[in-house]
Amino acid sequence: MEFSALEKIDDLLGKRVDELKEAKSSGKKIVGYFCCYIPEEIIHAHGMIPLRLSQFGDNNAASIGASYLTANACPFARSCVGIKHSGKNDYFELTDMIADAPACMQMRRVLEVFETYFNTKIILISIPRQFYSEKGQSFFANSLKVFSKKLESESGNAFDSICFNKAVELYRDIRNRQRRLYEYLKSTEPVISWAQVMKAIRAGFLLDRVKYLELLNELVSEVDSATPDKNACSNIRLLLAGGMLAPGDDKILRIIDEVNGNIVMDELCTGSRGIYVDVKAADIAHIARGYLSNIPCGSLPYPRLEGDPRHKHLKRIIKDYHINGVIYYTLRFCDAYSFKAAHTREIVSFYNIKFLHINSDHSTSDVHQIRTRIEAFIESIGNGIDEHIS
Amino acid sequence: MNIFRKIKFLVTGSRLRFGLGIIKNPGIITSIRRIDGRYTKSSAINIFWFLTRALWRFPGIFDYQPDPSLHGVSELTYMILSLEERLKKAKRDGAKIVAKWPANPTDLYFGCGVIALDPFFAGYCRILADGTSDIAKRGRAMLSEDACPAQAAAYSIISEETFPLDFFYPFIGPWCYDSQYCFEALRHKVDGDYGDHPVFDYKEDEKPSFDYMVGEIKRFIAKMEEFTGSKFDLESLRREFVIENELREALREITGFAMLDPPPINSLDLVLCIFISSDWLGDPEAALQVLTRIRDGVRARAQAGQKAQNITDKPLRLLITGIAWGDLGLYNMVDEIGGQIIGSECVLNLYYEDIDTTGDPVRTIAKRFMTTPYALPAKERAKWTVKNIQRLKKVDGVIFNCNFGCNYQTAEARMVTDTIKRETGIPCLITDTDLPQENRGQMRTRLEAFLELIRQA
Ligand code: SF4
Ligand code: SF4
Repeated sequence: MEFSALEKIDDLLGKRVDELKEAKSSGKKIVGYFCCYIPEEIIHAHGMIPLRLSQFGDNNAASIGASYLTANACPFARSCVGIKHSGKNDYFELTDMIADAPACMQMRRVLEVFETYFNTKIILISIPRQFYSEKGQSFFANSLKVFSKKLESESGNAFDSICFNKAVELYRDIRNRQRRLYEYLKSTEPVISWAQVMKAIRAGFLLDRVKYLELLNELVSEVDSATPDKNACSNIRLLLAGGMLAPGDDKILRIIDEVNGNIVMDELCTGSRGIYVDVKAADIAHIARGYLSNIPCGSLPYPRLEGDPRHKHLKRIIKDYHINGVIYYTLRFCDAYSFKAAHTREIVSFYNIKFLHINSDHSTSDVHQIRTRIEAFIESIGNGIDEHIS
Repeated sequence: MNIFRKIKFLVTGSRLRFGLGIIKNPGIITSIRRIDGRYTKSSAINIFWFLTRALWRFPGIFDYQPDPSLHGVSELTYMILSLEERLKKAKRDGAKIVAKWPANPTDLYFGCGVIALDPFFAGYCRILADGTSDIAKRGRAMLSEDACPAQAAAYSIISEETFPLDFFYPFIGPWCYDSQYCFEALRHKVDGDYGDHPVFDYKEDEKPSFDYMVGEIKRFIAKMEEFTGSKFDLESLRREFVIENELREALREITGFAMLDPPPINSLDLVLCIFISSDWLGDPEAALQVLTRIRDGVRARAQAGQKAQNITDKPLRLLITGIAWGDLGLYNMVDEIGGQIIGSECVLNLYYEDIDTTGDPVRTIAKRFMTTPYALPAKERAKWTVKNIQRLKKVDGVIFNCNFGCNYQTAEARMVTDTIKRETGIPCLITDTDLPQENRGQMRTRLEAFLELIRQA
């Protein structure tokens, strides 16, 4: 089903670089970031433009990145360096500084490379590993206060509580709408596909956030009034889980599509994870709590198997979205996620749900092998459903 | 182990030096006494028999040639090879064993009355003793094909219960990123917790980070009290500082002697000494006896102008940065081709200076955590390394080693070596290693070419 709001999103994305150039020439500062622990609210409140620079999928960029980080770094980290090295990506080039709260230490090294070799201005925010404790959260609140002060001096805009309240409100509305979009996917006869939702989510990395909210509102009302296309429904309902699937990295999606796999939900940091952030009040302490209480990034380890918040979330998704197969996709050398595969498999298998772990990068050498594995996986889910019915 | 291989080793003279050296020089074996509450008590005869049996039980040791004619080396070998048995015995006797990450200060663990275990080093010991990397391969099958060999081996020795472990409690920070996930993957096997070493990036606002670190250490202490059932006492932590300062001093002295011409200690013996600083092989007092013996032996050789075995005349002095080679055979190889390893930056992090014994021990440990050069941004770590190279004065070349699968060291390789080259003009080589004993031929070619380049320079 087509939605005009998504077409408008495409249109706006096409114009975004020019829009940013204009904003920049009028004195606005652009703050790039990579990981989802950066509270955009604070950047926005200082009159600056946040851009999530998660772009990926270019083999060439990753190999250039390897000359700075060696081939042992995850391909996303290498790509970021390679893209910056090329000097050809408008979004990267337009940023005045990069701020990050790297839960993943590989990304911290990326920032060090940016600073050392490309003279990029970097603002690092210290993120605690004790994300689940009161002490950790107040430590993070303190980090964010320092961050806010730095932005104050970078932007020349003093902290203003009215702007801050508005920013918190704006992001709360954005996440509400995004959650709404993901809600539609719970239906076994959805009107909007996961790929379309994903497109809307990713647009939020780059677009002007006020306009973005308007478009999300439009999209939600379009979806509300649409009727499902029963022919497009499938019994096979896949969850795509794992770490990073940044815009541009569509290898795994293409393969799943080619073998008629039907993804209905994701558990990815570039997908649904950020939508569950819940900032309950407009102050830094609540922002810190909101971000740290969200479903944690795999880069933040949890010491106990029992009560692991990632597992709880996974179980909830499996149930709510009627999942019958989980594809766990990890990038090579991303130990944060790949080391978790065995425990994740156990959780999923407990519910009698099929699980497939794919550890890859964006090179094309293993496409054939992955296709065969996914094909067999989907077939086995199909057989399971048939058996169940018979 | 295949019997033919053993026989082959027993009849090929040069390889006998390690195994039979013990028998040829029984006088060098001394006993290791037990000192209150510690776990190693071994008479000379125990050590002698253990090492003689070791010829059969640990086939892998034939691949390496330490110099048993150097006083203390046999006892050190004994301590390394008997770690597993000694820990099992200690556990039976009621001791608690807690896993840490290598750079976490051992003082804190031993000072809280538990035995610190660095499972990454222990895993390597196991590979070396077995003579095969099977445990690392099994670990990779469970963890990830991209796990570094140390992670993979550590995973196996814990999950297969080769080494006893009661709890994991590493402090995680801006260093080895992989180990935190390795411990996490072991949660079904062993309980644990993490201490948080905050990423320390905003200098203008250090206090909250420092206070947070102090809080994390106190939380650790409380957990250890609960674990051991005995009340923590600041004095015992301070006493631990004193013992471990002696150990650190012994290591610094041994490293200093290694710089002499002719070198009184070879590369392998030196790295065996410094490697143990990550957990003192479960027993700081026993380690102190052994290192003191080695230090005295090296000193006596230095005074007599005696050169260590296996080393060439006027070797080129190489400092290893990044992660030290896990394949001990490479250290013998360097000696053979005219080089000499004079230290390893990664372990130097553990003994480069003493811990202050005068202030509040908890704050002292917090400071130690936060100033570990490894925990600093790459630029500062590189500056620290440059300072050490300048202090050592006679470094001819620097090797930065990257382990396959290691995301941490590898990501800094270029930033660190670029700084070293720029600031010192010393040639640098980046090497890649994976499972021990693989690619030795290729490594030899690269090292020979590097030494040649230094000579020409
Ligand atoms: S979390 Fe994994 S995928 Fe993401 S940047 Fe870190 S290593 Fe790469
Ligand atoms: S080699 Fe790297 S990944 Fe492996 S234990 Fe050492 S620091 Fe960690």
